[in-house]
Amino acid sequence: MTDETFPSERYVLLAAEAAGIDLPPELRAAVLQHFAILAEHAAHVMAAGLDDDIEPAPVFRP
Amino acid sequence: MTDVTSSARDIAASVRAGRLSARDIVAETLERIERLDKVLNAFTHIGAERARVEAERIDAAVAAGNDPGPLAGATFAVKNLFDIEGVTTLAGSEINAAHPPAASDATAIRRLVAAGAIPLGALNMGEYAYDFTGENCHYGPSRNPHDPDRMSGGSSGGSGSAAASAMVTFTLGSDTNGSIRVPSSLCGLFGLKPTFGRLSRAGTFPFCASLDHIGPLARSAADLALVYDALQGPDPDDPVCTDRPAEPAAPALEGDAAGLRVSVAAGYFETLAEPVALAAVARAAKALGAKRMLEIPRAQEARSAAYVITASEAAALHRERLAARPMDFDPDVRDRLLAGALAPAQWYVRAQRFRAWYRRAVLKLFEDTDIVIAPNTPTTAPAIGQKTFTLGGQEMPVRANMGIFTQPISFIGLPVVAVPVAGVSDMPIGVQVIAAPWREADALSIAAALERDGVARSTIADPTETHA
Repeated sequence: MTDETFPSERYVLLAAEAAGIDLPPELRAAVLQHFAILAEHAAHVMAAGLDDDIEPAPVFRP
Repeated sequence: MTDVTSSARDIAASVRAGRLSARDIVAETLERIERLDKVLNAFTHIGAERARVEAERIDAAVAAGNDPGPLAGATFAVKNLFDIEGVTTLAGSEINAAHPPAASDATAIRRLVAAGAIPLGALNMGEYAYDFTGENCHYGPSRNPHDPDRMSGGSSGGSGSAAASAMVTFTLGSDTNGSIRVPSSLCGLFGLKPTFGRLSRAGTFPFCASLDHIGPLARSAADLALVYDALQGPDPDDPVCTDRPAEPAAPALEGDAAGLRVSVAAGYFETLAEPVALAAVARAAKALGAKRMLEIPRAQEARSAAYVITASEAAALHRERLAARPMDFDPDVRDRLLAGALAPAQWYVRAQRFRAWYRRAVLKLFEDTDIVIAPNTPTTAPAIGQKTFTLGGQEMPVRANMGIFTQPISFIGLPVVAVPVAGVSDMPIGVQVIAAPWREADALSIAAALERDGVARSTIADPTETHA
């Protein structure tokens, strides 16, 4: 999932609809822009190879 | 002579000795706030009555021969995401203004009051802390005392503005990705972002639970340490607050910091910094005799992972509000939160896994060094309203990128002292003094050494002389 291949606009509109989040037309351009920035950061993170035994950082103590 | 603009240490010494009354301090402080806040817009609530009550209590203790505490008579104010008894906790928002007043003080405020400090009120901030500018569409921007046409930095903007103008002796802020360190750099203050989990966050409105910290901003390393020591200690009301006993930092400040091994962050931390930020690092490094350059591995990915975690957790926190009343948010915050609300879960999980990897890799560096010096903000304070700036030849949004050097550090909860470096620019700029987990005292002793050498300095700014 990289910046080039992630279908931001189609994904954002469908995901918002599925999640019940109203995206009025006047907000779409800004939200799409911020999602594109977020997707770029996510692409850096997804490209970082990690061994399977690396667990998420938070520790839950019952 | 000690007055309301003096250090916490000097004020407390005068009050404890009976040379200065807390009542007079409060009266003069309220006059100073009245005069300066018209220009700076740092306060959203001025708690005059509460301050007078606390002052009477302190003066009564002194009169009775009791010790009112190590911060006796020092005044402080808090970012308005801290609960203050009887005051609605805004967290910079209009939405939360409809909430009932807080039933009790946040743990941090309770501890400071117990140490003799006097609370003066609540401070302006970027909405829901998703901000590096200090701007706020509901309450107006908090302004930089060194030039009120410029940003205070965010999201603890009022905390930077109020401390740098000496409206109060010190302030409290919160720091998720840089929100104590950025205002400290832009306003010329010492700021402490402690180890993740060191200080209780109980009674504060959250932003991103995985990364939220609280801490103080002050005008000297000694005051920062005094306040930090008063804030320490376990707290069952914050699930991430450590059970470690308090480790006082103030007593060690006068000691020799020469035994600490100091390195300078290289690679990522050099590429996007403007010359003024690199000059601040160079001046601090030279004073400390630090020649070793140290590359923090995969810092860019760390910054990106912090970005993803923040967007995801903050959006989840505000999910219902975003759906029900999106137009009541600050637009600059809302649009980022809406984007975060749509992030796939695998991004978030990978970012949290990367965090574990990165923590391990960075902790290994501390086998060969005790302190890392890095730039704080990439440049000095932009103009209020400025949307973009150019870093390393690239134009990028100010709001999201003022923390490019702070995010990879708080991402794994390392303690950092923001240190204002003198003599590199007309406007303030600072560096980050980074230590290993739980080694706040090392970073504070380096800050104190730089201050003794004249390399670090916080200057009180009174903008009413030129902007009245």
